[in-house]
Amino acid sequence: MSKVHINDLCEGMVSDQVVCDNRGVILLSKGIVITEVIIERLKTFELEYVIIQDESSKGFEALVENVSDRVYAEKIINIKDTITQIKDIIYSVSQRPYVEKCLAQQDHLLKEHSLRTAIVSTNMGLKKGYRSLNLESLAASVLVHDCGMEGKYKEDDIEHPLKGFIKLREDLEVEMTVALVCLQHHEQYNGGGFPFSFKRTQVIEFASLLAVVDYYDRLLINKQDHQKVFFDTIKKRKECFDPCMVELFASTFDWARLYNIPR
Amino acid sequence: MRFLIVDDSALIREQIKQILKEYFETVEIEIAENGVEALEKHRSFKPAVIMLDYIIPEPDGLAILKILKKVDKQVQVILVTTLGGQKYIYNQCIEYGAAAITTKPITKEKIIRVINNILG
Repeated sequence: MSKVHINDLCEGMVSDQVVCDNRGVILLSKGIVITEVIIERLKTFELEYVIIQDESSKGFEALVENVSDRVYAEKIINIKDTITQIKDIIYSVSQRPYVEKCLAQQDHLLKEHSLRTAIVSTNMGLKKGYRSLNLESLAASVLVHDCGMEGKYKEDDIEHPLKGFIKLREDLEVEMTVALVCLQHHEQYNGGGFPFSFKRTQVIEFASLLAVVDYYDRLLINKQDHQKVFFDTIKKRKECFDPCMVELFASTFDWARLYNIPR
Repeated sequence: MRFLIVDDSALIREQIKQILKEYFETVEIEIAENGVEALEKHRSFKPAVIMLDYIIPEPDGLAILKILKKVDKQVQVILVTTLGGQKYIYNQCIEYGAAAITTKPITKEKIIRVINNILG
């Protein structure tokens, strides 16, 4: 990617960032071909620079495309109507320096897990009616929630939430909500989780949401059957997960596809 | 001396703020309305003492106390609660590292006494 001054923008360049106004409303999506109309519009918002695509941008974009296609095709979650918006949000937050750094350090398995959970969580956030700034905060939190694993996906690492929290907290640019989601995503509704055995109101909403999605995706990484994984997750309602979050999670599923019912 | 007051009630926050301003010659005060903001202000403002309400939204006071004591062993946390009569709450707060506990309704005498006790 390269940073181009607004006066040097030319028609035909392709944006490599999501540009929002100060209320979080998207003015320019990632992957849009720049036109004269767009340049004039951006100038009215007094923007100085726009990030433009070059060869290096294509790797991350291809991975997001690939993962989101598979979420839809394999994992039976209904993202058909929301996927464009989800991708815009993910592209936007992936430009935050701490998200970019964290994703760059992750191995392929962990990066795919971060992206899949971010897609499913953001889809749930949209369904719940979160506003754009909250959706960005949720997506950023989910993309870095395993930063305590130091780049390698590990099944039984019970220290990573606290390690990740301390690491994120030290960076003053990281919102405290993002650090807290990392700290609390293995806490359980009944207090049986780790690292602090927090329960119910002691866990913030984004972390309760991610707890469900993270559990579901970790079962899928272990190559379990989609239907079985879905019902295993639902069964943990009240015991491990906030029932409202489990209902929200279930509401994003394509039930016909889950049961292989012909349309 | 730097104080952070964490309470979801603006009235209580203002009450504690006034008491501290009247009692200490030089005092810096920050306020927070919920748990997330409390952690944010603790990180940026680095208070010596935190007056922390037990019942606050997202996450509650006890959870904040546990997190704070994990990342900052030096900070003195005074829990402020309406549930003072319940001994298990008192024991829980002390176990998790609270320096002191005081009960609502807030009075100048209670606040000053508890602060003097922890600051020696």
